[in-house]
Amino acid sequence: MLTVAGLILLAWRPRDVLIALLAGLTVTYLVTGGYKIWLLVRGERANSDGPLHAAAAMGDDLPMYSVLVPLNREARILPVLLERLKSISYPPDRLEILLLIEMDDEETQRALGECTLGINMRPVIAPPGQPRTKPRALNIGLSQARGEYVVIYDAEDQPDSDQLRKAVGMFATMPDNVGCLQARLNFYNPTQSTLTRLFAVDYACWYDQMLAGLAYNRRPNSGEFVPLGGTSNHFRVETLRQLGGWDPFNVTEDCDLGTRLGRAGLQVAMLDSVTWEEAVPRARPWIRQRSRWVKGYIQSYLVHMRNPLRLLRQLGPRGFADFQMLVGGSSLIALLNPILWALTILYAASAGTEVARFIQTLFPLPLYYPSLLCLVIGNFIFFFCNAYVCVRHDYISLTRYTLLTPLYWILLSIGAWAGLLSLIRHPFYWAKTEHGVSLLQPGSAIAVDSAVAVESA
Amino acid sequence: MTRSITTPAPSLPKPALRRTHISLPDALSRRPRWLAERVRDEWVIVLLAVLISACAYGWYASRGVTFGYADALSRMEIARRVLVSRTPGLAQLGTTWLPLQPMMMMLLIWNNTLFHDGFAGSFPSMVAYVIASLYMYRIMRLLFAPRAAAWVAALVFMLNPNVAYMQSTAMSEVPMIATAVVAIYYMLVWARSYHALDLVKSALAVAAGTAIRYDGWPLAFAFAALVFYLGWRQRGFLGAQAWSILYSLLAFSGCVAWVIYNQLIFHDALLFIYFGNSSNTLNLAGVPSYHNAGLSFEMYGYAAGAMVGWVTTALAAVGLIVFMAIYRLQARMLPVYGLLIPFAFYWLTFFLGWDTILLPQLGANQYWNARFGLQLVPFMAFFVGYLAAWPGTLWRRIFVALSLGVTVFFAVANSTVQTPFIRQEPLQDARGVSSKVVADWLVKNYHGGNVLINYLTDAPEMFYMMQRIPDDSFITDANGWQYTHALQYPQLSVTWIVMENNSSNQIWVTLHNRTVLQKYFVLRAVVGNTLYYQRKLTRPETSSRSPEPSGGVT
Repeated sequence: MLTVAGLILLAWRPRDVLIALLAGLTVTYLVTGGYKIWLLVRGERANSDGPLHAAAAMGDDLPMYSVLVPLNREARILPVLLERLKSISYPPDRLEILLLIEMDDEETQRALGECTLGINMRPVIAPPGQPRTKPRALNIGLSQARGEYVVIYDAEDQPDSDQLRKAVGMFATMPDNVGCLQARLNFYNPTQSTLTRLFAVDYACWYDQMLAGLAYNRRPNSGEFVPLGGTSNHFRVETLRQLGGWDPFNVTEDCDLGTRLGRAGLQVAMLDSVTWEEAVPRARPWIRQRSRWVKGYIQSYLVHMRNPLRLLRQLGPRGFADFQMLVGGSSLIALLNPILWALTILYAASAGTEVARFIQTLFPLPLYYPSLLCLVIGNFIFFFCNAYVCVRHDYISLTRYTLLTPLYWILLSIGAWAGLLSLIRHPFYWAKTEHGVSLLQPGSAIAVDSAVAVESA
Repeated sequence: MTRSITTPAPSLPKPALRRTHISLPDALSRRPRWLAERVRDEWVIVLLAVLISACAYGWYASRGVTFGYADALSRMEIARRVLVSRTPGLAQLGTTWLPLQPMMMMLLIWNNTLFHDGFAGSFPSMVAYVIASLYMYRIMRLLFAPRAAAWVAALVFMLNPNVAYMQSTAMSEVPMIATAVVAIYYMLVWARSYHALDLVKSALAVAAGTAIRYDGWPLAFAFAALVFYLGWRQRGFLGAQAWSILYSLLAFSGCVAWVIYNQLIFHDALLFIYFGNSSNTLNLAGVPSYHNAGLSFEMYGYAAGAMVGWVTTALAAVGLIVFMAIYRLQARMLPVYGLLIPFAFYWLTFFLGWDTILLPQLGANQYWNARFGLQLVPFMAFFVGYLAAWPGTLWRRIFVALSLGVTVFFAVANSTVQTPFIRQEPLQDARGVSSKVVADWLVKNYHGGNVLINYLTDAPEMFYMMQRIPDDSFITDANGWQYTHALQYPQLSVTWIVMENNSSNQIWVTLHNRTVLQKYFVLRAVVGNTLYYQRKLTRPETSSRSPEPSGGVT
């Protein structure tokens, strides 16, 4: 009905409708841009105060910890993964590592047979079923977990060895309404390609600056929304079970779970520990991964906005605003960017023609200046912030690559549109990310060391 | 370098959260004495600066001399017409002058009263004066322990009568000084902390300076070289590269934006160099300092010295020599030399013949651009203050008393007995038929209709006319096609034509020999060199804004 009314209006008063649309877009840009700048500034304040540290729990008398590792066609990286998991510093008898494998994934099962498992590792074979997603495997793992706490690691992850001890120490100091600890994620192969470098900058902006700002100075009982990272989330098992585990149909189950934690009045705290991941080095698989993320964000947005008032009541105004900006806003901006870029290019290319004059009429003065502000100042601030975060957090060898940020934005938008189309055509399809690509590179065995060297170069 | 993966965190008896740095409340509650003193001093500096600023503005405004410089009026008009004119918008910022100062004026200039009495134009300079005073103090406290040194430097700057006059006007000198002083302060902080945020603050101040006066551009380049050098010392080539990128992206954003603006609006990225009244255009034709290194040095040296008096200049020179002997090129002190950039810049400018200073004291028959010397006042203040940081209580007391005595004497003498050096040029310009007298004729005789006037040459007259005539009644060279149309067919849209008998006045050049002028207009008055024409009106106008239909005049 609304669409029909809109089309009629567009046919009747096309210029006015376009002006109204552009005004709406400009307001969206101003609000989301302003919000992100606010988050960056808060992140700076959080970083100036320093991260919250909890003493790592020492000794052997520690609570039972379950580690869930969903695997799907991961034969290449499995031996490396097992070694990394063995290096976790935690009493072996208090740790269980569940390797979650699909029934028909013969490749991983065969590779597993050729490896020596640690005494606390056991494979869990997921029975056939749909949807074939990571959250479904995690739910199966959760049902079998015996730990008091649980953490999720991906196949290519290398967590800091004392991460579980830190998590136990921090859970002990945190109030009961802290339902999840999120470790920082970083890449061990940031120098593999230009794309991994830009990806590393993106991660640094999010984990080192904005996420710090999101969690900074929250009042204990305020509403909260924090979109979790897909890995290295530590939970109290009981809490997670009460929440019902993960939504198996959501392709960004982390974002969905973060929202449900907030809706249940639970908070997420940052854990001062790093998990090293593998950055996707090539454009095509990177776009596939990004398309899944955007698809999942849109899924999560649509699911939780079925009753906006209830969401507002449960998350509180601040959490609700965070949800709108980070889940709805960021996806929308990535989708809108190419349209407005095209409009700008069209205007420049058609200077002096009727087309350019028509575009000019779409921007009356009260709309023109805010739009100009977004185009020039807004873009510059985000561009500059990438360089700032690199220098601020000591990724100095990546700084020069921030000059390529606009190219990265183009890839982001391609990924966003691919995600939207995928949502329409295959809403629950999980576009799997290939892991272990960095192992094919010479010298990959020292991947983490070189990543740290980049960080502190 | 390898990552430590086995070192356990120290075991605590009870689980406890701790931060890596002291949080702000803790820091405040245990604030050391020197910091408490500094905070208290800073408040006093700010209050004193506000007081001096307000008094100076009141003093000069009550005597009607805040409009002394014609450029001050032009700048206010630029700011005003961005908001209120026949063709409002950012394109009105024009070229030649950089845009930030008019943009700062926009905060208040929409208000008719504040525009006409000039306060809207002076306000950014006044704020800049307070900021510069505070950061003069901060620079000294950062580098030297004795409070006396910081107070001397701040007071030498704050009590300077030339600074006090310029901060009462809508000129861009004091805002430029403020950005330079802030930039130098944060660069000094960064040279100690290597914290990204400090460099960003410095770069931001540099960027603001580059968007206020072209004097800011050499500072941007000098600091770029400094950042690269200090970055190299800290972290080698990669460090130099990273710090330079961070600095340059922000510090040069003003320059780049200005070039792009010129390209987009005027279709010539470098128009600001060659257009109309730009220094380059005015003075290329043989200035006395052209390829004369000694005269260039003498010109700027005299202008700068006269700004603070010769005793203070001599003390500052001694301070510079002592400072250079002690610190030489010590990396952490290098940003201090940024205070000398104006000297280098103006010396080069004069030497290359791009601009000049004319002073009767140096054989010229007039004052011209003497105000350029004001940029060196922070340098003088710093090095006089530096001498007050010299060890030895007795010496310091004597020196503080001496330097402050000289400063106060100079301030009082130049504000009451004598005219501040910087006011000589506007006083000389006011000796002919003043712009206000010229404008008064139209103000008294205006009874509606559009006024065709050339902004580029007659901005001061236009400012006084705007006291009574609505802004959107003026058709000027800032109104694009409306202006060119009015020049071609003045009888269709114009009631009044104001033209100066001058070959640089485009209206005079275009119209004075054309029959259209004799046919449709009558010469009503000649005031000084300015001619007033009025259209031979046959019917009353209904609107001052709408162009009249063709054939409506006989």
